[in-house]
Amino acid sequence: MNVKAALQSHPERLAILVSVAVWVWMIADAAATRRLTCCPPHASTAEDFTAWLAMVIAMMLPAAIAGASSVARRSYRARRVRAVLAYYLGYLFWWMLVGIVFAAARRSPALHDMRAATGLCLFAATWALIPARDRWFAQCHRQIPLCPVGARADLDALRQGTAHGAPCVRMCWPLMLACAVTGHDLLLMIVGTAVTLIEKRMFRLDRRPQAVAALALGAWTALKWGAST
Amino acid sequence: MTLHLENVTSTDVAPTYDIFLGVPPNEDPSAYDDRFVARAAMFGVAQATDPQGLHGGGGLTFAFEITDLYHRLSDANEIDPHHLRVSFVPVSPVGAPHVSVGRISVYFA
Repeated sequence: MNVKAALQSHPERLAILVSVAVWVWMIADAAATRRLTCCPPHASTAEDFTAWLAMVIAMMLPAAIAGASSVARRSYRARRVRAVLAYYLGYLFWWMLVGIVFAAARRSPALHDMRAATGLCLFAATWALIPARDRWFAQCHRQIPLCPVGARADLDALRQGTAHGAPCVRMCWPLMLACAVTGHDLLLMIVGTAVTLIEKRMFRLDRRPQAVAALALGAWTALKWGAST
Repeated sequence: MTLHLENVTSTDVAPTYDIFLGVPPNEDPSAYDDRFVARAAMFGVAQATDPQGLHGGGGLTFAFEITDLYHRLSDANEIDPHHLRVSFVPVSPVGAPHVSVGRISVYFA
């Protein structure tokens, strides 16, 4: 099998491999410590940020496959891998900013309290219903022109990634923060990923799956808090 | 092969355009019927351009089949794929539109 040719044909598929690897690592970590969360309860700021980044890669990279595929198809074959890498870098940029803020704010005990996660889940259910979500949903599919060659081509691929990452953050930040506050509870991550992928495949936005899932996860985190007290 | 016009945007209503391929410089494209590609209607371009609208702001995208036209011009040595001339002629000029095309490309199958 010609690996180089396969990679140039569909470089975006590399993201699936990376995402799966991160999932395996997170699940293995949780299994090894017999927890439903994959991160230690009292992590350092650096560990919190690393865990946030891993969570975003596991949950959101599969949702960005269509955007990366579009960038690949609109790029010359010889520079497809580079274009897709630039795209993902741009896509992750906004999520990393949120992660930095979260990791810093995690010094506060309130962000270790399961009730904060419940509150964020309930807020996420409300957030799923706001009208602006239609605009953000459309912006998730926005295409910008890509210069075919040179440094401008790399910059355009990066810009395309940020153009998709920004509305993605606007839509999903409450639920992602809830996941992080719980120490990356696997159930929240799995349900969050599933709902994101379902929403991404919609032709017209249906708010119900996200709202219902957020409510259910809010109930789950409330149960966890009840069991811990 | 196809001629792609990607991210065609305009903040205002724009006229329909006739598109020509490989018209010599400083010539009136309307006099070259044999180089006519297609007529591109700009219906909805302002709505498609609005980044806050329901279409994401990416503008319109067109794809036109040009296989026969390209081969005919290529056989007559009247086209250079590295220096493609694409001409846009408004069918009925409307106001003072500012239409821009993000990217023009030719896809070879």
